[in-house]
Amino acid sequence: MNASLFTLTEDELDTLVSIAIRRAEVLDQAGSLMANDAWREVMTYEERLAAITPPDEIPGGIARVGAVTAALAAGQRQEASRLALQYRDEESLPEERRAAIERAFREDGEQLAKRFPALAKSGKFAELQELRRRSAVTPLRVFPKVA
Amino acid sequence: METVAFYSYKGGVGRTLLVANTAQFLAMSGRRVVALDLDLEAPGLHHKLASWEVLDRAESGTLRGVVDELLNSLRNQPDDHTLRQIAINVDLPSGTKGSLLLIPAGSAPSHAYWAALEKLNVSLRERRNGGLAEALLEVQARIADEFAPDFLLVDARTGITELGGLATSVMADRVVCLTTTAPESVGGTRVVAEALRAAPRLSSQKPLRVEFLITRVAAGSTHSDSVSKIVQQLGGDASVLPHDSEIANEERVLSGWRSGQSADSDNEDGATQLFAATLSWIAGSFPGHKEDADKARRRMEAVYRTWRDLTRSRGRNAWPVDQLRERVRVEYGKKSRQADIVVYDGPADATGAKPLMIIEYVDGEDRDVVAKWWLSETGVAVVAVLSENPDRRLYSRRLSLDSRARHSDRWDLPLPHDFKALSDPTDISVDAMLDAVRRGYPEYLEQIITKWVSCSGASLLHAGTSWKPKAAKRIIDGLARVDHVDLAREVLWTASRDSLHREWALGDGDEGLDEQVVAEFFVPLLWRLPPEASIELMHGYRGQSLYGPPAGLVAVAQLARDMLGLRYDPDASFRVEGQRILDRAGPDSGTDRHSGLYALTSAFKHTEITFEISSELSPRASVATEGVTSIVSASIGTRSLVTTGLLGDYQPDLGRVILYSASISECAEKLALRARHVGSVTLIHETLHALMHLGRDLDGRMWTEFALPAANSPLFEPSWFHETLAQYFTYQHIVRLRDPALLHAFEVISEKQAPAYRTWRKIQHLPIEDARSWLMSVRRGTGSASPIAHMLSTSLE
Repeated sequence: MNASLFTLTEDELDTLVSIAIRRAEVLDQAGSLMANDAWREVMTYEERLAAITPPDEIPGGIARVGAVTAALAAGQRQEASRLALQYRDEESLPEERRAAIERAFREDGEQLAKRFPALAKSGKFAELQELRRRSAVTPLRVFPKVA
Repeated sequence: METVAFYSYKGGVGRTLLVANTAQFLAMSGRRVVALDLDLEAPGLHHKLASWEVLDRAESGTLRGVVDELLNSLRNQPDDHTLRQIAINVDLPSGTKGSLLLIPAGSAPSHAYWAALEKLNVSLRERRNGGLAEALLEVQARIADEFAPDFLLVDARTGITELGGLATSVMADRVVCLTTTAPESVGGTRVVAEALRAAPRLSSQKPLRVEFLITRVAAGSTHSDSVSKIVQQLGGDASVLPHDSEIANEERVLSGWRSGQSADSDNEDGATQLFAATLSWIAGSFPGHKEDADKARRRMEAVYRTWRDLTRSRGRNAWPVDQLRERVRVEYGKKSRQADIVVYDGPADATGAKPLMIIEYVDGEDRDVVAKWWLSETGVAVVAVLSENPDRRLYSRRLSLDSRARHSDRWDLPLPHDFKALSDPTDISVDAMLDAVRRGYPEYLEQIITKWVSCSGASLLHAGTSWKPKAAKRIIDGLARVDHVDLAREVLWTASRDSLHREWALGDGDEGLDEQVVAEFFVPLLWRLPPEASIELMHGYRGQSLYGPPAGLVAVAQLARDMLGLRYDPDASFRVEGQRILDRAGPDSGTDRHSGLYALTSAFKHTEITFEISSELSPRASVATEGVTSIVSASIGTRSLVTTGLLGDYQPDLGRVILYSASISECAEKLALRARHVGSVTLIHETLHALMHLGRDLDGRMWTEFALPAANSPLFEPSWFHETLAQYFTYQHIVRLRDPALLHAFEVISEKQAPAYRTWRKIQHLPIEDARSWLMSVRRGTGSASPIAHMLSTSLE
């Protein structure tokens, strides 16, 4: 995370995340390749917001759910899994926020399952999801030098 | 479904070829196989497995492949088509139980393909739609759903890439890692193998099996220490395939691929080893139903051998590879058959190329019926049917097809010249080949000589074959009718070569075959064929054997021995004369070696006969004012025609035999004979003169004073002693040659000759031994006192 991000206040982050979400949605609707990067930017702000807000407060809960869903929208499923694991460990995270995070994963999975029906039918899709979750490093990059 | 990925750290190891070979073999062994090309940056599997029609589609950019499928999945644009619509059914031989589907990368190398690949790479950056892993596993799952194959063989990307990593880890049950012996290749392969073994697996997957295959190992080094060391480096369980330069150039091991081994094979053993090693590796690595695998193996071996037979270097006669195609399906009406090899009349991909010969391996069907189908439906000239039985049968259109097709006696496959030279390319009877030779196709000479060897019983190798002297004579008579000088020269040259150059090389105990072929085949032809050709061979022209004297010299020596009972051996003469001169020189001259050698060389100078055909006028014609036409006409009209000095000459001072072409042509025309026959008669006559002069008695004695003076010498006049003897032996020699045309020419000429040339008739029935005795007495100077001389002189008077 960029060091300058740490100097931003909650209000400033709120403003930036609102603008970033709007930009990502517009780029998404336009089918632009830059939507990925835009959602990654959203994820970055949300993750920072989650870091400076308590989980049991509304902004903190929203930021945590937002960070995970933005990561999924950016195709950063590995990152989403890492964040979800981290937030679930926070005891004070309200149940509805936990459910929202789970729902985001489920919906993403369902969407992907529609895209890869044969894989889903074979049962290997779930195995792949599970493989990603249990792998500490980028799981499907087999070779040592892959960037 | 077992998924086997073929991977190589570096390119150029034969990976794609091995995928194609393995897929082919497994399918022919009865398995259902899908071959998937995931070498997206350099796809080539379709070049190894697909038909020309598919390649045309690839070139035009209309061939769909796995790149299009991955792109659709990632873009969330799944259409309702099935993989079957992009899978290419690889045509397998009739009766094959298995199946082979190819899913190509796409339309490579068209521009459309690279555009699609770029779009795929862009989409992969949009990971929220799912990554490459999902897309690849989706394709794999669809293959399993739609085709339920026994094996999915994946041609994986070279090097270290995400695609290669996925293909060899989450997709694969087994990985075959190919490497050469190059250190960088071995080192990289080891690193990759370690990464693969440590790679995460899906929970339902068994641990990944990693195998190693060391390729392109120099033939003969597969068990060397250096290779063994590499095997140890790779964990001790690596197979080895030998290198073959043909494969490196042409990319062909087993049947089923269009490109072929070149005709100028430089490594036959290596190619055979590679073929056997590849089949062995596949069979061992994919154990299955042994009987089916053995059948597939036998079929591949038969087709492979046939391809080699067609393209292997047989002089300049092999089929060019571009005239051959493998696996061609021909459809007529509702029926279709697949030919294993089709031979065309020109480049196979040329417009209007017509098939000349169909070759099919037939298993479990009546071979005659199959041949009949090909001949009647396709109109090809020749069909060759291969089978499990090593017996190969050839059929041609000439043969009756009324009921069951009959096969030809010919076993070897016709070559390009057979289709030009023979009316029926499967007919290599002696008569057909002789006819072809006489029409200008010397390619059959070796086969004709081989036939002669078997008919004449000349070879111990053919001791088991029947002795057919009439057939042997028919062969020599047929060749003796060759008129064209160049062709006659080729006949003699082929017959005079030592057997190192022959296909039927000598076997143990047959060391004398060369000499026998020269003595009984070459020598008669030398005297019977046009002298323009014979004389070149007498000088050793291209007939120089590595180990023996030139065949032409043998012919002259044989004439001296068989007719005159004399020895003609210039080398021996040289030795004898040399010793005699050195002995005479005595001890004082021993220091003057140059003088001795000079004397030796001079003495030897004219002991060897040279031959020449002169277009200049003969001595008699040159002094006559009326010209050669008139002098020949006048001589014939007055029965005073002479051989020596007009038609030919022996010049004792030069040791030279000359034929005068102008006189010979004129004489032939006047006597309605063929010039070649007049020339041959003259050549024999003058050679006998030369031998009577230069030949040695069996005790080595030489009678140098025996020769007539040169025809242009004032001392010259026809000697009835000399001419009678020369004519008698000429007659005897021609009788032995059993050449009716030559005998006719000799008798017609003789009838018009001067008395000295006709006297021979008085002694024509004299035994040769008696004539030789007379020759001896004439050489000694006592010939005129002999009973024969008395009889002849009385008759002359």
